[in-house]
Amino acid sequence: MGKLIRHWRWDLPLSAMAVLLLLAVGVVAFADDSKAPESVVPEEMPEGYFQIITSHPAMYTQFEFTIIAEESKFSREDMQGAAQEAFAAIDRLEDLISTWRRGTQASRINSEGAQHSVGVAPTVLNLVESCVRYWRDTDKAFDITVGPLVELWRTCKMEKRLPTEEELTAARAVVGSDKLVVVPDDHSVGFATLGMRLDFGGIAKGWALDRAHQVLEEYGVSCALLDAGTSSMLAIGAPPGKPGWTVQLRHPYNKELLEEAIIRDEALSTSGYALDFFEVNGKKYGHIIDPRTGMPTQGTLYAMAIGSSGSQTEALSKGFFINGIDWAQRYCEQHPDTRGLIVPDPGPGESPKPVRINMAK
Amino acid sequence: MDVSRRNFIKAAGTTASVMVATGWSPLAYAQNEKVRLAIIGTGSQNKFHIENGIAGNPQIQVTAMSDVLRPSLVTGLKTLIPDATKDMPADQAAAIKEKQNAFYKDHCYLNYREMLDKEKDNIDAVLIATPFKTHYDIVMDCLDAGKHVFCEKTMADTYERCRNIVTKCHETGKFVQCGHQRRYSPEYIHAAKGFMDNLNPRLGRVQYIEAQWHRNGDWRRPLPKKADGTEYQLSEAEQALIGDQEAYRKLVNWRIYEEYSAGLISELATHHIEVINWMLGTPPRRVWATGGTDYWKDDRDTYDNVILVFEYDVNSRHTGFIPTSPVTGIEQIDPVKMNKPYTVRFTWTGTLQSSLKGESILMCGDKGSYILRERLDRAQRGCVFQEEPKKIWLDPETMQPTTDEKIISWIKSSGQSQKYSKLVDVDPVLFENELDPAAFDKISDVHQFEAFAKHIKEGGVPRTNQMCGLMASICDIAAHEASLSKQVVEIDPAIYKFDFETPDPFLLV
Repeated sequence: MGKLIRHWRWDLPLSAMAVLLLLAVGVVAFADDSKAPESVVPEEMPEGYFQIITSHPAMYTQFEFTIIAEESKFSREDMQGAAQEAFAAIDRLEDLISTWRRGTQASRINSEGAQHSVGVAPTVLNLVESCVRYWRDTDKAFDITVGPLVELWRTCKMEKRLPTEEELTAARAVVGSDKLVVVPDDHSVGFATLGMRLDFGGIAKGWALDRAHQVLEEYGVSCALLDAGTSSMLAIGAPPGKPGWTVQLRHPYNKELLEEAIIRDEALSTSGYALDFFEVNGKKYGHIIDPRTGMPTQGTLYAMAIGSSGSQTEALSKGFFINGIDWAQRYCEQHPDTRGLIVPDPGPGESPKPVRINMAK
Repeated sequence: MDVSRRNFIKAAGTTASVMVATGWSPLAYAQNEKVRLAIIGTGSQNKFHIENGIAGNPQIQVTAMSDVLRPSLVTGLKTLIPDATKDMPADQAAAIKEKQNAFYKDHCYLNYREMLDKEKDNIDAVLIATPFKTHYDIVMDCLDAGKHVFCEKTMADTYERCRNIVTKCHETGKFVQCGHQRRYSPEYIHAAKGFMDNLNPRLGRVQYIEAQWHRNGDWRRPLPKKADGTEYQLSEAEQALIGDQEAYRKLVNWRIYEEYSAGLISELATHHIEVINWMLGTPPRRVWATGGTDYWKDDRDTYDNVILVFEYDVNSRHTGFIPTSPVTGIEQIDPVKMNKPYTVRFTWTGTLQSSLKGESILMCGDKGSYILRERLDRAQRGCVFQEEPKKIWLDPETMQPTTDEKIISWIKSSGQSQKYSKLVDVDPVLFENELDPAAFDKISDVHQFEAFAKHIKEGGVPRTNQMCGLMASICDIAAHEASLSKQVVEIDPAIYKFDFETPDPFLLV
């Protein structure tokens, strides 16, 4: 299979937390600009199987599906058709939840939500409710309303300064998923106060993978790796004769192999700081904001979470990143279907050491 | 025509006159009472409606569903009540499952007639998005059941059937709203208002219109399959409604088979034809068409490329070219020529083997032209291009553009206009910048179902009422006939006449 190179973009409009991937993974040759996890797919298909790799641009990234099927049961056209249907479902989802396009339901909530609730699709309601659940599950670390704080820190970064106490207080007053007004019976979502924003950038790609998974199942797909290009992957079944899909996570600085995660009917998401912190008075600040304090999260370089759905792992990787190792260990103990890996910030001069949680090795 | 046209629009403002026209008066709906809606056909179009115009509409509640295909019915149900996410706590997941099962067991039907019968006291209106040629029977049954109808375009497939629907609406006092959603699109309404303005300085006289819908693809949907690669096998109940497996395969891809559809004409052209009818305020007098199945040589029996040419006889609103006497320099106005009706020609092309031009309408005026598109990229959905470049004045000292009145009047009086001015191309004016953001941000699907609920609760008829649907359908049927015969088909205006009062097909708002 060909080498997959993904370009990370700083200015992702969908990215709520400016979450950056640090885990760079390569199978064939490693390229410096490749920062996303990469999968290891069998290059030679066993007798009787074929594989298609197909991609589609959406949500400011490139979705890439690798689908394996049995020659005796499916044709290549069957699998291409299934992938096209799944891509179309992702596009329809983006038409509903993009916050940078005008006219989507999410954009309408952002512009009108404080005046009156906005009617949304059942799937968008479901997404919002799930996000509120993840917000509770992660002790309020994952928050789709964190936008005003992210915006404040982005401004400060450009002006090379720290936010003032007043600015932080003002931004924190309009952040918090408890200030979302959700009325399930009316399929409506609104804001309790003016100035709020919601942004699905931290979960949209995972949600899209879950949606794609459902569609692919309708077309008989039972073995596939769905890659949302920048931060999330979802594995359906396992390649023939293998225990699961292998995903390699490489260290971004020395390109050393950190982990070979094997996932089967599971999703994997990563969150992390890339190299460009910004410094004020000798102190480094990253981009992932802890919505509870309003400050950039310290002490973690990156986090990876594995769980049963793409939306869950997207939220969980942020939860792991912001809440740290102890919290992640406790969470995984209580939720045996989850596991992960965290690389704490070792401080100057030290080399980062990954901490595995529930992972095999 | 002009005068009567403007009266039409005026009449639309007074609900009373419209209510008389349909014989329909509203039920007593409480303010917060929802319109109970049954859905027939849970394919991709109705799923789109559920997600956009319906579920989020506080005035509408879906109370029943039907589809001849069980898998489609199930995915329709899951669009209304989405599955639990895989990581959801067991009790919540079970609650969702239970809700889905209860709705499926009590309110989902393969046979819409059974639904109309069993749910008759549980529904006020019906939404139909089934294959084109199945519309008629379903619409008539729903009207007979005393329900208001929202029917996807194209309304019906023969002249007689179209007229029967209009008559049935008159008899039952119910309306049929057709899914010509562009009539609810803020950009199109903005364009129409400008167009209908008698002395619209932006367009001048529009004499030529072109529109197209070009795609590159076979227009097929894959058949759902099980994990073992086998295709879905119809149950006996489904066979009774659909037929054998072969019929099922055709049904999934109904757009490309004559049995269900008129192909590109009934599925795509109809949207544009309806908009042009509306803007010109009259249906076309004749249509010539051609087409063929030249690229996708599979078992389809509809054309994969068509060209339609419509002629509209329009009374003079704009004078057109008036010659000036070379001797006196005075316009030679000839009242006979000026008041002569003129012909607006509208060409439509559709193809399934090239997508560059995509979907758009171009209305060519002698002063400027509209481009109208239907896509989510809002900034480019509607704009007007000026025909003439704009003259700008240059400051004689700096040779930079100036708007200073003093300098401009000096240039004009100095006789050096040529030297100190230049012509620049004018950027297109985006309709987005001229519209109310709140209305603009709602997609037309939201607007059209708001109108649907409003007219059911408050009376009156929607813009895309049965007469609008009839007019577009008749154009489609004529165009389809023309494309098969490769002959000109004349459309007799008598086909739009009824011996009772019918709703106005050209309502602006």
